[in-house]
Amino acid sequence: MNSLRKKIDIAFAVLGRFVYRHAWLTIIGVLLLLAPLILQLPQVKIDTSTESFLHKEDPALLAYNDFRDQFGRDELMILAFNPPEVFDLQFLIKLKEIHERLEMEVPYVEEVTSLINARATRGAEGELIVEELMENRPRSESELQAIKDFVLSNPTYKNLLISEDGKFTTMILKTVNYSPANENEDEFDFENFAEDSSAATGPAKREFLSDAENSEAVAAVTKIITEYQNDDFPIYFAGSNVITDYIKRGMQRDMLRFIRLTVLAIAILLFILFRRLSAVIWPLLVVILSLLATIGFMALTGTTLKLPTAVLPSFLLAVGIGDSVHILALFFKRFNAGESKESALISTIKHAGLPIVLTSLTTAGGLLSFAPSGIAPISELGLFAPFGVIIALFLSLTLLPALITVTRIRAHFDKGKNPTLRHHIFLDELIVGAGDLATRKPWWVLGVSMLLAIIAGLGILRLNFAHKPLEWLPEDEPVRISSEKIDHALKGSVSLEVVIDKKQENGWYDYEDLQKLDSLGLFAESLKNGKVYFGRAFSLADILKEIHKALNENSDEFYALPESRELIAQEFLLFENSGSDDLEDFTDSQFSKARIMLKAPFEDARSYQPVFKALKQELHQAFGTEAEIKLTGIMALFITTLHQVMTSMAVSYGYAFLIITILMMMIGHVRMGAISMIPNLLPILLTLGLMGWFGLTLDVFTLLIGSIALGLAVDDTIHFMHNFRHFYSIDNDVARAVHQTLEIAGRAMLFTTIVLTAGFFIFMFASMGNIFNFGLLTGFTISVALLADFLLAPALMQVIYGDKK
Amino acid sequence: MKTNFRILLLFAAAIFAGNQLQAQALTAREIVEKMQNRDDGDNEISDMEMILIDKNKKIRVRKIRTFSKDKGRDNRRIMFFLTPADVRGTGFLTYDYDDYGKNDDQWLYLPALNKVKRISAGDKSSSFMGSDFNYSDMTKKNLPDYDFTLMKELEINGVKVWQIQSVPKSRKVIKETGYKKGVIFIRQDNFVAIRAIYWVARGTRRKYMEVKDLQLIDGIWTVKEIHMTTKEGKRAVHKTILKISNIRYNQNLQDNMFTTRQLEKGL
Repeated sequence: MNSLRKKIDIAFAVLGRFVYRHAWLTIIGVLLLLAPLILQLPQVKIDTSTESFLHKEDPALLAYNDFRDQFGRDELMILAFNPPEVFDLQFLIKLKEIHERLEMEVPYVEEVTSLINARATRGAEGELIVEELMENRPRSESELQAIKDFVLSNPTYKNLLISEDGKFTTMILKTVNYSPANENEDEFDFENFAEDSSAATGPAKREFLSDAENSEAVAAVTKIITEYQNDDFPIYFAGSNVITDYIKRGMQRDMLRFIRLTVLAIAILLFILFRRLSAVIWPLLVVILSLLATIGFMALTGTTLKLPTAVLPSFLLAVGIGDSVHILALFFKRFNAGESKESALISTIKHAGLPIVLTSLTTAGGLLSFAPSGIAPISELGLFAPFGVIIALFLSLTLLPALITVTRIRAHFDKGKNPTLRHHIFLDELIVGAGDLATRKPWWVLGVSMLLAIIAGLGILRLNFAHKPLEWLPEDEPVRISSEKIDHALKGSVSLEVVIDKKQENGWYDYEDLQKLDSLGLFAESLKNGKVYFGRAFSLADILKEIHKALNENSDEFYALPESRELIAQEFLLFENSGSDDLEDFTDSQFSKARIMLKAPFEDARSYQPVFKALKQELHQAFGTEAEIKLTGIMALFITTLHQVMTSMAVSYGYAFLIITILMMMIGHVRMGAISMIPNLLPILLTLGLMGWFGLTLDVFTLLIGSIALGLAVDDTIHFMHNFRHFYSIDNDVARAVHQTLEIAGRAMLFTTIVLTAGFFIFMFASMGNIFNFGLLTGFTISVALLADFLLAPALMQVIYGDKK
Repeated sequence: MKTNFRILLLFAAAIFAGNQLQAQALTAREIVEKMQNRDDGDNEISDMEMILIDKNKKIRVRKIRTFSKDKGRDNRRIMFFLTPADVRGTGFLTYDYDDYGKNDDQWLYLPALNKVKRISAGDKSSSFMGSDFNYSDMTKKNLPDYDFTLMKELEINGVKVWQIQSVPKSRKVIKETGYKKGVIFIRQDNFVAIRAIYWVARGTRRKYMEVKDLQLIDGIWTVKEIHMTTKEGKRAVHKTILKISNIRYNQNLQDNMFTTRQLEKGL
């Protein structure tokens, strides 16, 4: 092992010598190598849509896409108005104005629905009237009253366009399903018209409306409503796509803020540590270049930046800087001691090479454990973050020494007079003191650790998984307030979609099946789990009941399904001919599929599960043998996302533990490698316990903490164990070995941990609560891990190896 | 609004031979006017096969028999569904008025309900019998509502045509017809519109109309097959093929053929 170690060190020395002798060549070569990736940067895109959390080939997403292909988009933008009186002429005039402006001015809007243009099908003696509700503006109080009575008594509008108490009314914007990009509206080929016109019908692979286009529409709506909105006339604007748009803007703001703050923090720490401009600029250049190359690589592979990957830039900066710190620390120590630049540099690369490769590998290994995740952005984090870490390692070993070589620097010999040094000495004493304490009273340390572990374990039992993007938003954020208001007043802002495919033409002309469909809607409306319920069910059956009633002089007793197959078919035909295209929203042209739309409040995916399960069971009981049943819609995507969060967590923790343990055992001693995992696992245990006790949930962000922290925390352990083994082998005195180890490596361990912790604490400046938690908890975990290296690791060494003396 | 069932299918008109000589100097507006005013026959009976093709290439076929008669400048029409069996006998009776200020009268009869109902339907942008055609496609335009521009003259399948753009002057017209713009290709020899493209008012859809089979029957240019395809971008989302057969003009249909009683009686 030792001879191998020597060979490796020599190889690094060769690398160091090459870089020193061909510094400019190295710099130019490295830059040329990175250029193709960095040039891709402008192509990078952000996507925070609900779908973006799932892999493109996830069955739940494929089912959702099938649904959208058939029935159009289920994510709706919802505006809710709460005027003193809905059926007031002045208000309705304003409503109409807003309605028309939205129709005219908002891009990608397919349909705006409100009380102004709601389908009003009613019957009178010998007459069937199919018109828009406010086709003619009401002129008198009695006309207004008539409309009010009609709307409030008509079940069609309940919780869709008007709240049950009649106090809230909505305006619903449905955007087009597909992206019109590259399909210029005004250009087409007149010459090839014939061929064009007879082109086969059929869905091709088309891009759905993109996240960016969605944002354009949201921005246009926002602009219009701000003109009308005031304290006396509040307008609530929500819908899952409005929330994702908010999240995206928050993420963009936050990302830039994180990057700036991280760069600043790193610069300050580097300056405190080295007191040189070059020692601030060169490492920053290294990490910024590796960041740019990584993001460029994402762009190259067509990977969009998604919500959890928003942490990637500042994360890479903080993690990547560690390598440079180690190299510079060692280099300046030798250089300031009077060694020549060449000799200091080569011996630095020779001695620091292997440890920084190893620490980078463990960090990358921890991150790689995210790759198998079913959550797309987490899986992408698991692929691109390790890439960034390896690039940073590569640059630290090539570009950094080359830059040092070509920079004119002078050695600082005035060590004794440096006031920070006394500070450093104090710190050293503190660190070494901790180690001494641990070796003197190892059982105390182990006992306290055990106690903490037990308390944490109890907390972990209280841990829950969650996926509720709305909760990431600040409580006073208008989007969140709007969403909660709409959920409350109109019983929901997201939907679960059920598609029952009878695989039989005109299958839904069947009375009994329609009746089952209708009862399923009622069953769904009766379900409840805490804050989760279905505020409104709507299906083919509702449309049929409405038209049947209208054909029978609006008599309430005819708000029912007709029994004869012929009548069902004829009423549907009439409906098709009446000018409404609503049928195609709820069945296919063959009448073989029926959709039930179920409106639900925007809640935690976990609380959806019981009602989801109950509904599924009822559906299978009703149609299990004769039809194919699919559940989809935004709510189903949430549930799938949550499920993927849970499995991701298990898989990632498992892999991270496995990869890192193996690496640790390979690095040196098998037994020592295994033992060294204990001080690294305890902090994660404590963090999870803390989350449990404080009621924080595991979600797409907090699930990342364990594996990331493990990969980073072991770096310090590697340094500790590396030195400990060296000193322990001299005289088998554990206490002395620990003392010397901490004297030599303690300060570097502390500094890299401070940089990393600062890097994570910066996430506490996030506008979203989940990123705040992620930063706080990861920073906490890494800090605790350092404490564990200073206390628990020495205690363990004392207990296990102490007797052998 | 004046609706004429066949005009709607044709957008077209045959003209008297002498009129062809004046064609050169016509303005876009005059061309459209001649298209709308051509002789489209009277007192006719015809069968229509309506083939509906959805985005999944699923096909539905409906057969409808139509009787039509001009009443002065107005038109009366009665239609019965022959197939599919479930809707056989379902009938629509329409009185179409030449006066643009006057709404059409329409009655429907559902045999399974055994009742005649007057239908008051507001706008014409709604689908005709679930097809890609809407009622405005089947109605003569009120020409002063539009700006017409003669874009160019070109040849289609060896026949000279005018390519004319029509843009509604008001939002009201856009809302009523469901289109914000149209480009129509009118044959120079017989004033039949053989192609058209319509921009759907809302969203990004366009509709492409094309006459596939045009025949001279009893001296009247008659569309025997016409396609209308609704597209989003380059992709067809729905398509309707109308095939007209058994066309007989001048059948001396009586007024009592166009009554609600006849609607109840059926074919």
